[in-house]
Amino acid sequence: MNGLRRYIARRILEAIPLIFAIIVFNFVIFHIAPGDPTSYMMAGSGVAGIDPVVIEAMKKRWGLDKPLLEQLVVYLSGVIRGDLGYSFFRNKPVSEVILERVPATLLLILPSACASIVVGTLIGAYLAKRPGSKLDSTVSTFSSILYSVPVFWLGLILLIIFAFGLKLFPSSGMVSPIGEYAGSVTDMLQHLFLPSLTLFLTDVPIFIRTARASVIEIMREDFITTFKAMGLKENAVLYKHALRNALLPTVTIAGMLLGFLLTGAVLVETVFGWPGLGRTTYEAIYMRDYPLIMGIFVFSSIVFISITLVVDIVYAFLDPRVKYR
Amino acid sequence: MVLAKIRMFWLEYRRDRMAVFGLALVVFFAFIAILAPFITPYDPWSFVSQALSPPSQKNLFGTDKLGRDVFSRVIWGTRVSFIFGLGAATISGLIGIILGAIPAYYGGWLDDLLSRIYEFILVIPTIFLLILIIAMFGSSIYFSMAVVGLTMWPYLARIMRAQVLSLKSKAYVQASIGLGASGIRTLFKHIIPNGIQPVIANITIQIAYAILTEAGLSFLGLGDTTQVSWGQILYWGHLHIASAWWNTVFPGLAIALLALGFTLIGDGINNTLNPKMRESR
Repeated sequence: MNGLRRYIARRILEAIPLIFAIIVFNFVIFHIAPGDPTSYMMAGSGVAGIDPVVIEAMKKRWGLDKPLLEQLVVYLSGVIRGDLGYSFFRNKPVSEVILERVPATLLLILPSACASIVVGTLIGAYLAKRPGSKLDSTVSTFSSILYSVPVFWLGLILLIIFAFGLKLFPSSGMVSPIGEYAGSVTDMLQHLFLPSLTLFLTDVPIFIRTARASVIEIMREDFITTFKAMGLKENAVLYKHALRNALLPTVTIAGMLLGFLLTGAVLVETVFGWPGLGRTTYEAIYMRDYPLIMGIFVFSSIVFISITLVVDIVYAFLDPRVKYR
Repeated sequence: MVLAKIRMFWLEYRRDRMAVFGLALVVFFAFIAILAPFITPYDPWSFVSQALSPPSQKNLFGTDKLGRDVFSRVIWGTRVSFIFGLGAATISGLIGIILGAIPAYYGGWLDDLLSRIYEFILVIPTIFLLILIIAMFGSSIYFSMAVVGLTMWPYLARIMRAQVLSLKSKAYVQASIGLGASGIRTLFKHIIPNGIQPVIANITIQIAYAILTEAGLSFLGLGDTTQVSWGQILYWGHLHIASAWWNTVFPGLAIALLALGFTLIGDGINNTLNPKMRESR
């Protein structure tokens, strides 16, 4: 157990320089980008007509008249205190804009991610029973196809069929899951269905593939052969013992999956006008709201690093074979 | 010797029906890309029919908002998307192979440093990195291609590194070193050629990934508006999705088919290399 504790401490210590590196990287990017850093910082304020007093205040706030190194220190200490800059387009601090939009993104991502983990793993384990069977190759063809379809195009096709053709679901118009503009639960579920289905369909092949490959591998191991020889039913062996062991690789790809989910969310939210972080990113690109683009980058990187860290620690708990190097 | 190896490989590869289908898809699109100027019925940039007219005999895939022929534009877009995919994957492949192999072979601080660099790139959510860089530095297609390539190489370097580490202790490699061959010679003559196959399988899959990324970036408004790429056609087309589905369906179908082709080839190469996985495919 001592080893595990030391492993966790070491992983946390390793994550800190990574987060620093991300923030420094972001700082470097907006200093080497063509143009004046002040104009990026103040994008959307209508720089031409802006009050020089505000420009001066801004320069002072970010230390833009000081040497670069000092500016970096100002920037770093700002980010650490949660200050990601100011969005002049929205007239709000960037961190506030981001935090407002997180719940909607979670509402979109979590149910479809859970569904694709459960369904994908079960299908994958079932296919592993008869590798190479007709059903197996059909499913694997379908998952290759789903993998190759651009996620936003799949969303658009679902829109054409279910929203514009059959008029079963709304094409957009979700306002907010919480707060005074929130609609009824049925209304929310109606809006949630198509975007969630899109994300589910694009994520499910990853879990089918992972579970299938790892169950096949496990089914070859000696302890499984022993169970079978003892006369246990095939299904009991498969779902009770093989599947449990085969879940570990699914945990390890969680980090990769998170990247997939985020990419999917940005595009799917844009297709369906879902008021989350992804849609906000699209709007920020559209309006060239640079402080917001940079803020979203830093925020999502920190979330990403933290989740990867948690996954690694959970994995170490689950699998005693992990060596705490 | 090399030809015999390729022949052996092909005999194995062609047994996988899906892999052969993937190859057929890619060859089909490659012909379209090469022959594009001769087979487009209309100039992809000029007005030919009434705006947003549905698919007909004159305009197989209908027309877009500016009355341009979608069929001609999709054919022309094949070129752009092909170049984008191949270019990004080539950049990623060259960097990945070199930066994966050399440090792994020599070990020491260089290896540590490079492993840190991959880790750094792998923990950044790629989509937001691409958005940040392209939004700030401009969205010309060759620039985006290079940036996409630069975000993909760590995956390849990691595979190459593992291959080098496992081949380094093999007898024929030790023999080459023992006979006095230089490190670089041993690496390029014996280790890389023998360990590169899984990297090639993944480069193929990255071509698909790059084509999908170009489409995604275009969809977010970060595409090169001077180019007729599939992503651009889809982006401008989807704005009229409620009234003119053909502007959305056809370019997306093209993207999906070409990406599917490259993905199936990549899977096919992997399966050919690991016959053990094939029964389990």
